[in-house]
Amino acid sequence: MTFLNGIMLLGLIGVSIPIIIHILNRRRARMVDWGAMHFLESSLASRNRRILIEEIILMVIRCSLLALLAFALARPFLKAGKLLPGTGGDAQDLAIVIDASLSMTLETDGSSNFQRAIDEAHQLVRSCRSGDAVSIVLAGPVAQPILPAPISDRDEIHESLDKLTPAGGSMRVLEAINTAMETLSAGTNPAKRIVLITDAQDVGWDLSASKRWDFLAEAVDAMPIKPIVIVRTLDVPEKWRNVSATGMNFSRTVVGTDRTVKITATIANTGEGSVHPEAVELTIDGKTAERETIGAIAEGASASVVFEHQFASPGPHVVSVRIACDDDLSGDNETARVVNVLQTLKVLIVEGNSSTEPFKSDADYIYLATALPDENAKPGSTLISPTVVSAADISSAKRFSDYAVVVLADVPRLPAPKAKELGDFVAKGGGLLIAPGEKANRDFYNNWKASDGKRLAGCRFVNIRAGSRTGQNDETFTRIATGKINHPAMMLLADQAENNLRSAHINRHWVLEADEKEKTVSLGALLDNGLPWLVQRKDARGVVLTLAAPLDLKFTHLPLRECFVPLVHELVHYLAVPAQPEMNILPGRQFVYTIPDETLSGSETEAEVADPAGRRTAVRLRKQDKHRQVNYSLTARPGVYRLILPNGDDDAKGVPFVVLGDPDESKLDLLSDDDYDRADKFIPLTRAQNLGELTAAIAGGVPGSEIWRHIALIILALLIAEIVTTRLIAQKRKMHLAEPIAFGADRNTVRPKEVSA
Amino acid sequence: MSLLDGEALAKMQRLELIARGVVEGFISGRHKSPYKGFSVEFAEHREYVPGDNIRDLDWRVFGRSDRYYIKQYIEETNLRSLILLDASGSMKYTGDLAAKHNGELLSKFQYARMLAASLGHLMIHQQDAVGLATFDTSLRRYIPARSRASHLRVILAELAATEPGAETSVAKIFHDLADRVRRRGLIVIISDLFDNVDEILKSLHHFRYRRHEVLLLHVMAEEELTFPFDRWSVFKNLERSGHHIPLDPLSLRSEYLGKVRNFIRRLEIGCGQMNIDYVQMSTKQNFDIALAHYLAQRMSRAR
Repeated sequence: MTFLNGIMLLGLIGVSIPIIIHILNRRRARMVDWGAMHFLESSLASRNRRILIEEIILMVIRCSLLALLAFALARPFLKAGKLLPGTGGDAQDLAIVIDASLSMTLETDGSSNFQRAIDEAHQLVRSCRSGDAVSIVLAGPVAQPILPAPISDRDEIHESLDKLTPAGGSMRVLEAINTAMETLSAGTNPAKRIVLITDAQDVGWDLSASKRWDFLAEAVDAMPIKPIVIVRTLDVPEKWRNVSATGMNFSRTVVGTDRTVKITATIANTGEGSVHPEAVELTIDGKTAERETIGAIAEGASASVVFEHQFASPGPHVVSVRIACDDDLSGDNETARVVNVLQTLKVLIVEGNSSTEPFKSDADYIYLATALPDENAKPGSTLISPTVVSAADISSAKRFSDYAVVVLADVPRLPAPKAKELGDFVAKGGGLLIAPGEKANRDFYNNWKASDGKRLAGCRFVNIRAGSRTGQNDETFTRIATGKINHPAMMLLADQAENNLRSAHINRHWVLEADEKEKTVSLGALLDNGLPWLVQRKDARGVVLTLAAPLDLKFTHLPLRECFVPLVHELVHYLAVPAQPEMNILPGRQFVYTIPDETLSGSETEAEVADPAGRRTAVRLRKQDKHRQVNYSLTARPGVYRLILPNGDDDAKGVPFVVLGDPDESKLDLLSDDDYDRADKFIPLTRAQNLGELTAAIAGGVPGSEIWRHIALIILALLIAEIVTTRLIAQKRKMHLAEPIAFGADRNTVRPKEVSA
Repeated sequence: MSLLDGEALAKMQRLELIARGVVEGFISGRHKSPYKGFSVEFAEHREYVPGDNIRDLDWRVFGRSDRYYIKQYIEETNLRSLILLDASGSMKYTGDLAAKHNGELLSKFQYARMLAASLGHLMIHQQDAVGLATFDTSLRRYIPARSRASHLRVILAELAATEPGAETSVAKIFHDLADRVRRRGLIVIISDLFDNVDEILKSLHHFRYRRHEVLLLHVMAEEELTFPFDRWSVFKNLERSGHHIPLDPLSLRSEYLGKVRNFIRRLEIGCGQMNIDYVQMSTKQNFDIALAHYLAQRMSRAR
């Protein structure tokens, strides 16, 4: 016997209530000084034994009444079949999980599998018995409980089914079954079934992730009555034509209006036979920017199309690539990304020492590398906008949060409050580049703690060492080991044939000892002598990069090499990325966007988000420091979303962001029988090949039955027994007859004459 | 009077005040002084027959009708009353529903005592002789009947000094007293009569046998009549210390009331048969009912 609602067994404590009341009554007995003891004693002598028996009977009835009530509320379930007559098949809770992935929109014979799934779900609901309750889960990349608790209202179920639309992306099976179980556990019927209607595409089944399947199997086992999982697989065409835009890459991570960006779109043929798309279009914010024709793509092959585009205005832009091709699955012919184009990337360069002489200040070279290369260029045409401040004068830099990146060029030390401020700046997503020279104070850097208490730089400054190799003029030097570069910001310079980073002599350098035990710390590049050149530490959100040498001529001639400008740019761009809002997110992830100050007047507390289907949801604007932030998590559907701000002039546009789809969804690889067997080992699956099998699978009761109805009958009987007993006892005690005795003035007024007569 | 201490004296004076208040209020309120000049109460006219006292001839009637008529007067007989006051432990009972005096609930005994004082006062006031006997298990005190006005003080002092004590033993005492009181008179019994009802009736019969008129003032508290308790209670015996019964009153109520009802019924019937004036006094009632009964009794005797 199991209990479906075991917590209610705690109610058994209630059995003690009548006993406690009895004891309390006796305890709280009041003292009565009594004169008419004579009558009391004689009454007691004749009644005492009877009273005791009556009380025991009543107490037993009341206690067992409470005990059975608690027992019935705990919903005992007898697994061993139908021990008791009259329990003809208990009602069940049914969770209908509908695959809402992109592949379900594949049209065959005039309708899509998704539509068929809905139709079958309708049929299924019609074939349910009257007591059955149904919940619905729409299984896209995020499983959405449409009816989060099983309901019996048929009209509402049909209505909910009719409202469903495909979500796109791929179905996450584990998550879908888990969500279905959650909806079932909200139901009250003992028998539980999950019906999954899918096209059996293998994407999202994650059968290799056995730990996750084990976890789910444990959750299934943990349920009082194991749900039965029935998988209905819809047919898919054996032959189909499909091209899909599977991906899009940008040549730079931080995009400005200053120069062109390369956009590489990947196009794959995932269907049968070769296809020849008419063209591939690049659209920016819905306007066609470029159109390229490509050749035929062989079956299973993929092609890349490269577009070059220079954004005219800053701000978030929807970049989408569309393949003009008539194929079976049109949903994956277009893919979109949102690029947040920056006006300027503000960099604060803090120099240890400034000088009036040219190229004597510590920051001169970095400044040159980042600032305008050409005096005639019009303002705003460069992305990076550097500001130089000397370390002594650092307090003039009011807010670090105005900048995306801070560079410390051979800064000896910072005042403690500023150091802490800078740590907070990094924690919130700012980038910090440390380029220590001979002035750098070892103790300061070694003891500079980040906001989480760890060393901010991620490495220990040991000492300054000269290079070991000897060249002309007895120059000792070492070089950057270009072959061992693994930092993304330096990848561009890794190729010796393309640049001359290798030729740069590093005469002296700091010996950095990376805190390798920390997971957040990694070595980005090494020197020839095996010591670190670039140490990266990821803070809460931002990144700290520490170089082994300052970016001036005191330790190295690197600033004089051609590769210096790209190196500085790459590092700055890399550091600036975390501060940028993530505009392309995975399904189910939260979209976090800080609204620029100038866009809001100040009093608004709500904005709206329009999802790809055009439905609008209100979101709260939360105060975050001095800005306002939007947190939006209903990102179940892949596609372009728009955040519409209350006073936005162009409310049709808003701030776009993209929830990414799954490129694998375009491949129609089906689950094999082996795959089913593997899944079946974790969770027993019943397969239904057609609607008939499906309706048959949900018919029939579960072995075992709930017995609370029987207990309820016993309770009712006990209740009646209690009432009858109480009445009987009352009758015996003649409570209702115990009317007051007529005595003295209560009877009639005094009749002295009459008495005397 | 030196035997009385100050407190008892104060108590006595209080009693006298109460009694006077009760009696005067009763007389002036209820009746138009029917007994004024009762010593020469006119009864009727009768035709003269030889042998009658010529002094009794009504000459006015003779003047009007030329016949001899004798004026008859009621013989002035002094009523001798004896008040028997039950001072047993059970009389200590004070119910929540009892009448109040000076803001305090009256116990059955206090009530009975005031009753006795009021009756005594009234009797003396009527020139009747009053005696007092207090008892519990045994006769505690016996004051023979006197009609002097100063005798009232003796009775009141005794009443004030009496406190209820041990168990009741009504029947035995009554038998004793019935033997002891020789002259016919009015026996006023103030008691809760918590004793064997047969024995009580027998002893009352003894009084009647001795040709006493009996006025039985049966004092009961309201709680003893209704048993209104509804939660577990421990009933402590007022007559025997250390004796108590814990019980659920509801389970016993009808049984108890049945017994009490039966008890009262038997008293009623018994008294009726013996022509005893049986008056039920619940402590929530006023005393005047008792006084009215006394007066009625007295009138019947006078006739």
